[in-house]
Amino acid sequence: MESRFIALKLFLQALGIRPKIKSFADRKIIQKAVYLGQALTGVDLGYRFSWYLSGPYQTALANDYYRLAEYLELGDTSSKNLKLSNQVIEKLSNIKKLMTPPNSLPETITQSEWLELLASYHYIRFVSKYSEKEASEFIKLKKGHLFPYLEQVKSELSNIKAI
Amino acid sequence: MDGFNDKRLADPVHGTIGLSRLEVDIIDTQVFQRLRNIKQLGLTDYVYPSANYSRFSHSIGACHIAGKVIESLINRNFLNKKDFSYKNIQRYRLAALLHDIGHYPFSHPMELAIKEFYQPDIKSDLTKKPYLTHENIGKEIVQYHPEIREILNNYGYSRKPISRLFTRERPDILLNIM
Repeated sequence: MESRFIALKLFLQALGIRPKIKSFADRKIIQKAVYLGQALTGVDLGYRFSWYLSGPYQTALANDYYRLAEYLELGDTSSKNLKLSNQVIEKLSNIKKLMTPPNSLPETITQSEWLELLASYHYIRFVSKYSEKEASEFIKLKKGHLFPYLEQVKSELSNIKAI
Repeated sequence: MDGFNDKRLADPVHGTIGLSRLEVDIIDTQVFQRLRNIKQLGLTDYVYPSANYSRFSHSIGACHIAGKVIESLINRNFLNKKDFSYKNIQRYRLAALLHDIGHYPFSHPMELAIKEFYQPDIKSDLTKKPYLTHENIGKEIVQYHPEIREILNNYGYSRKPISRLFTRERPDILLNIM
């Protein structure tokens, strides 16, 4: 397995994300987790994200997690004795709790929806450079079903000093 | 399309392509003319000799197609004509025209090689790599290249809205035509 797939696997592992790709929701989780992992910690796997319908997305990342899934299905164990540096693991661990919806939110919001909202808000604030007001209006218009959870997203990002 | 026929080119794929004065001025810049020497498919023509068209002709074709798509969407009432003034349409056409201006020599193979060179070493601290995608290089060119800056300023177009379209930095209803 090439080193970039090992790096991706270990990166996801450090965030508590399994490299599952069977459903659209699974793949969305990986996309948003990698975006947030890079954006919030400075740990760089080299993926450069653009805006698509469900938020920040990277085509090369999609290619890579499909390839990673193939290797894992074939039983590749080349990552077995490898690990990320302690510094990187620590950085990623600091945001690991963001990867799942807070307990205070209703169970109706799934992990993929939570990450979509978190990543989308962060992206349009800090990459698209929308103001807070513009970003809130955008989320209300385009992701209305997730808008009720926006304040929680802002709170979580504020807690880790991302905003 | 009205307003985009100051100059006409014959294209083997699209037939006659109409261009605005602004688009012609952009095409005449050294930085755009460079695209004549960048093959669309990198080294593929060494295997398939006919695959030798350039990023130059591709970019002009993309500009034309962007205009055609918008025209078609307006005519079919999927877009409100009032929201798409001449200037707005020109902006999308410019984004399509300039979307590949940042391409490396040999197109994607070179870009992949550079990305591979900077691929993460898992034993390192995985800090941000200086690798730039061709879209981001294009963004820098649109923003800072003196020829492009001067032309866009002279015609009254801001640079950022154009580069944001082809880097997909901002949500936009027509992002997918880029």
